[in-house]
Amino acid sequence: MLVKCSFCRKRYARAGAYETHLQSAHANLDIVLASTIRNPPADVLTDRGTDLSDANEPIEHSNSDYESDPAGDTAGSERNAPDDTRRREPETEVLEDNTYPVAAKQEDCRGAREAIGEVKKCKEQCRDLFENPCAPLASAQGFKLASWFIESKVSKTRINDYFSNSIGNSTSVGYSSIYTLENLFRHVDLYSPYLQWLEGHVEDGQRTLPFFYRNVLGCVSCLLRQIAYRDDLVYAPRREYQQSGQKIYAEMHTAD
Amino acid sequence: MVPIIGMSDQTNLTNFSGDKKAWPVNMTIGNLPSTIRKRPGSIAILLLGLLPIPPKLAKCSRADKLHRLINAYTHGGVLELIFAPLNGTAREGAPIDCADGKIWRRFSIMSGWIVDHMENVTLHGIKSNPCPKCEVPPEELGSRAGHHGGRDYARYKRYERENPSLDSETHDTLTLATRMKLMVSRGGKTFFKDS
Repeated sequence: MLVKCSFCRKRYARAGAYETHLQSAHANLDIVLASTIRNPPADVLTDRGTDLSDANEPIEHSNSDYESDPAGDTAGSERNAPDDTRRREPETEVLEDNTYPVAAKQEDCRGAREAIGEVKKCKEQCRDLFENPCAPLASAQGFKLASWFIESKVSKTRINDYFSNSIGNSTSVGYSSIYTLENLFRHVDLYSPYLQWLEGHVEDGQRTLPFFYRNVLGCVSCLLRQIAYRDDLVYAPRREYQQSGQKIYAEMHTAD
Repeated sequence: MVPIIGMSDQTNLTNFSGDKKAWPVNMTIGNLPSTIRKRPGSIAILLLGLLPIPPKLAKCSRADKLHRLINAYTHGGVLELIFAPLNGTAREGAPIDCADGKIWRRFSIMSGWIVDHMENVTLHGIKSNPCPKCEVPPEELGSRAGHHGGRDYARYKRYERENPSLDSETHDTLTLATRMKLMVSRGGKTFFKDS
């Protein structure tokens, strides 16, 4: 069974290789590290000339689909694991305002490059995700027990009986009833507040039809807030070139 | 800037108990590389809404025409409601939490809509044989003869508003604007309500 890294989505079949990858690529994970990964130091960039062929490989090799791309096999992921931070940077040039006339003319976009504020508890969430992958459950045992409850479709009454009859140890798993367990489930998904469903009604002249939708800005916030995407998100237009000098128009942000 | 990519397709759920269908509308953003967006396990495509399914058409051509018109108006109104929050953010921007731990002002703009041809026909209210992108006549589809301008649905709505009784006119008494309207409406079937 392949295990996917929560921070860069590499896949590993062996726990040892996964742990080595976490220690090497995601050591001391916090927001500061994330910014250094996106902007690697100069000595790392200068070393790219020594393994130019490796750096210019298509990104799909490291970020490939489970089913479709045979190049993204487990062995390849484990073999390339220490170099993943260096392979993420393609030969790109981020456009500045003075070289991008369209952006320079947009007066309404003034201040678009200035952060308005800090997201509350973002650093704590990143740290908790790294230090305790089972959060908000207290331990791996509690996570496994809760998973078993759900997958086995154990009724709420039986779960309460399990703890009230002292069959299970509530102190080690972190919950003692279905009430406390459901409270923990509400905090499992960090992004659920962005994806609330709304109900609307429309009349077609004969009847009233219900329909359901989400706030589109909430969906945008959910995607931009995903920690797993933070190394891949692109916020500014780019120019990308091949080795021969031809321009690449593969992405939406690389268009003219 | 956050370019939004929408996608929709009506899908059949079952043929029992009255042909149940669903009409999901999905969305993703162009800030993510396509190698990540297209991956099934990346959860980069979110379900944005479920459009109402119109009732079955009656077995009468006049009633069919009325139903199609009502359905087009209905779906236009529903899509307007779903994407109404983008009206202000496209120009003024809106504060959005980002993965780098900061709140940025983002300009969310609808940039693309991925659908198949029949979905284009339904959403745009056009006939099934013309091209939904440009005004090439149906008989010239597939050929490279000439260049035809793109479809401007705002212009169609303007012509519709300026010529409400177009169907009753004869070709001999058409004005220039009416002829243009007829030219572009050869592919048009219904028009969305003015917002």
